Order: sequence, then C-alpha cells, then structure tokens
Amino acid sequence: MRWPRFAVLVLITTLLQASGVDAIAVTRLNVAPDLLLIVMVFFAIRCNPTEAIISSFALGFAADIVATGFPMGPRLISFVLFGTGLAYLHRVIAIRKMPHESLAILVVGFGAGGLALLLALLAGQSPRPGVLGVLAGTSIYSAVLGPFLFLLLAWLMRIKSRRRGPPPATR
Amino acid sequence: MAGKRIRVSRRMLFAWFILAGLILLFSPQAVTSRFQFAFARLFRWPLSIGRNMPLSARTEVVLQDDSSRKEIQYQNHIVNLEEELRQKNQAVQQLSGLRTRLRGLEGAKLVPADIITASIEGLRSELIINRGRDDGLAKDFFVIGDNSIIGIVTDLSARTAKVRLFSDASSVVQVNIAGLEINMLMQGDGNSSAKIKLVPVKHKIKVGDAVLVRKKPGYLDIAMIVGAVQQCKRDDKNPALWDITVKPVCDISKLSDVAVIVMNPSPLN
Repeated sequence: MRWPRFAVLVLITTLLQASGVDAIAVTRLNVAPDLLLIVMVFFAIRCNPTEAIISSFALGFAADIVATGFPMGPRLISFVLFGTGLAYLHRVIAIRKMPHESLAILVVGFGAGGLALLLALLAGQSPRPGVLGVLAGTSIYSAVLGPFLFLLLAWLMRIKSRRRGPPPATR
Repeated sequence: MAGKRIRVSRRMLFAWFILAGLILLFSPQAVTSRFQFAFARLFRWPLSIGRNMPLSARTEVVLQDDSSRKEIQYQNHIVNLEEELRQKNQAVQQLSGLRTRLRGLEGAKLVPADIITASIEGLRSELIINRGRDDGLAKDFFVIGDNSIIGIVTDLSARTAKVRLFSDASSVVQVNIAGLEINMLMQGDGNSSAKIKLVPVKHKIKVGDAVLVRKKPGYLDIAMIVGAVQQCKRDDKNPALWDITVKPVCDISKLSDVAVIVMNPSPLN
C-alpha cells in the first residue's frame, strides 16, 4: 500500500464528501453517494486485512469529521467493523465482478449506516424523521456509482484489479 | 535498531481502533466537535469552492431570481417594521411608561459572519460560520439572513459556530402568526420547511401569513419574521386542529453571509 498516496486520496475524498457531493444529489431528500463508504469497500476488497483495518479506521474518522451535527465515533466504529469483516469475507468469497462489488457496497452501506444510527442514538442523538429513506437512497446510489469509481481508484492507487480469468496456458 | 519495525497483530489493531471509536463516541460532544470545527476552519477555502458548485450549476436560475431575492428582502424588512410598529403602538396604548425601543435591534450588536459550510437540504439543516466564542457569540443566539431569522447558534468553538436552521428536524422554536396572540411551537420537518401543530381551527389562518419568532428576553427583544404559511389544512388525526406548513422567507442556498444577534454585548466585544 502506498500510504502517502492513500492520505492524499482520503483528504480529497473527505473534501468532496463535505461539500462537492451535493452537486450530484438527487430527490427532495438530497440523497448523495457516500464516497467515503465506496473508498472503504474498495480498500477492504483490494488490500490485505491489516491494510483494510487501517484504511477503514482512517476513512471512518474522516466520515465522522464531515458529519457535522452528529456525535463523533459511530461511523468510525461501523467502518472499522464492516471494513474488517468485508476484508476477511473477501478471503472466503471473492468479490471481483462489478455486480458483486455493487452488492458489497449496498450491503455494507445498509449495515454500516444502520449501525452508525444505532450508535448515535446510544450517544443521545435524537432520531430524525426520514433518516431510513436517506440511508437506503445513499446505499443504492453508492452501489450504482461505486464499481465505476473502483476503476479510477485502482488506477490512482496502482492496485491491480485482481479479476481472475482462466489460468494462463502453460507449456 | 532504526530499521526495526513495530509489529502489531491484526486483533490488537482492530481492538485499538474500536476502543478509539468508543472513546470518541462517549466523549462530550463539545470536545469532539472541535475536530469538526478544526477541519472546517483548516479547509475553509476548498470547502467554499465545493459549496459553490451546486450554486454555479444553476447560475441562470440565480440570475433570474436575483431581483426577486431583493424583493423578498424588502418584504421581510417591511414585515419586521410593521411588527415593530404594531408592538410600539401597543406599548403606547398601554401607557406603561416603560422605556421601549424605537428600533427592535437598536441595543443589539450584529456580528457579520461568512458561511463556511452549509447543509441546507435533507434532514440536517445546519451552517458552520466563521465567528465563534472570541467574537462574543454564545449558544442560543439568533442568526439572521436577508432580514429574517434563519436559525440559532447551537455549538461553538473559539472562532467558528454551528447554526441550526429552523428547517432542521430537531429544531423547535416559539412563534406566532401575525395578528394572532397565541403561543405556538414550530418544529422543523427536515425538508426545508417547518410545521406548526396544535393550533385550534377557530383561529383564522391563511396561506401567506407571516410567521414570527416570539421575542425572547436577552436573545431577541422584538418578534422577527422567520417564514410564511405555505399550507394550512386540518390535521389528519385531529380535525379540530390546524396542520400548518411554514416555508422560510429566506433562500439559504443563496446566502453567503449572515449576522448573529448579540442583544446585550459586553463592552469588551
């Protein structure tokens, strides 16, 4: 893993998530993709578990930083839990094709978002009406956009796609 | 020795990170929000560029609406003046002999502030502004934009503050509708508007009526406009009550600066 490159990527993604992502928001609930979630899933399925844990922590911290009005901690915990879980799951079930990546983002989006909401409630944050609709919308939007962003991320991080085809013929 | 690497097992790494998350989760929000404020202050410039992106995407609409925005500002100002005049007349009629203010905000200090980041659509309706405790701001101070009240300061650091807008789902504020002398509670609905409930249908309310934030001694010495009635229908659950939807009279997406009302500024500030 190229950590300086990773740090710059996290910073740019955080800034985009904090302000620029509203430009592509849809519906009256202002549903926008969760770029930090997409990046977290990318590193969880393209890196080894140790790198996945560290990157999930960094991205979870960034997600808490940009979530103004919410207590810090819920997204960090949920990102580390789901990032680590996904990294280990990837060792058992390979997630390489675009539909599989999309499904992984969708499931992690629902799971991490739901857990973050529960933890925020635990920390005394009052629930807001319509929050489940926003969570569902964000997860679906991220799942649609994510696999395409994976191509860009793989190129930026110089990580091979590791999409396995049939083994090369040997003589 | 210099090349020796510290090896930490995955389990230990995972446990540390979860522990860090739990510490952050159960730390006082006043402490943890400093991280958020520091980020907003440090990256103020790129964040403001990002914030302008959605606005620039609809520049044509903004240009077309520029004149109507001025008109809205004047209309809000007129409503504020009318309310001020009405209250002054009441005071004169009562011959209370108490000193009344000629202008509602005469004794107040208005602290101008720029908006660093804004979440104005969706469930969270908040602004982060570039004024804080060092500028004399405190919690619950009212914030105005385009001559109307737009929100309340909810959190502060030394040089930044968080403003919760009235459309935020967790916002509750005492209001009255122009011409009616009854206390009402207005709650944000997280959808760029707010709701007033528990108002008996015997009160005549019509679409377009001005909704004013009630005066709150020490914070706001005169009622000021916050919105206008957008919809008024009978409550589905209790037909004896109105279900009123209030639309803000200020288009916050077009605001770049606001002012915070400091009613009794200390001489040092």
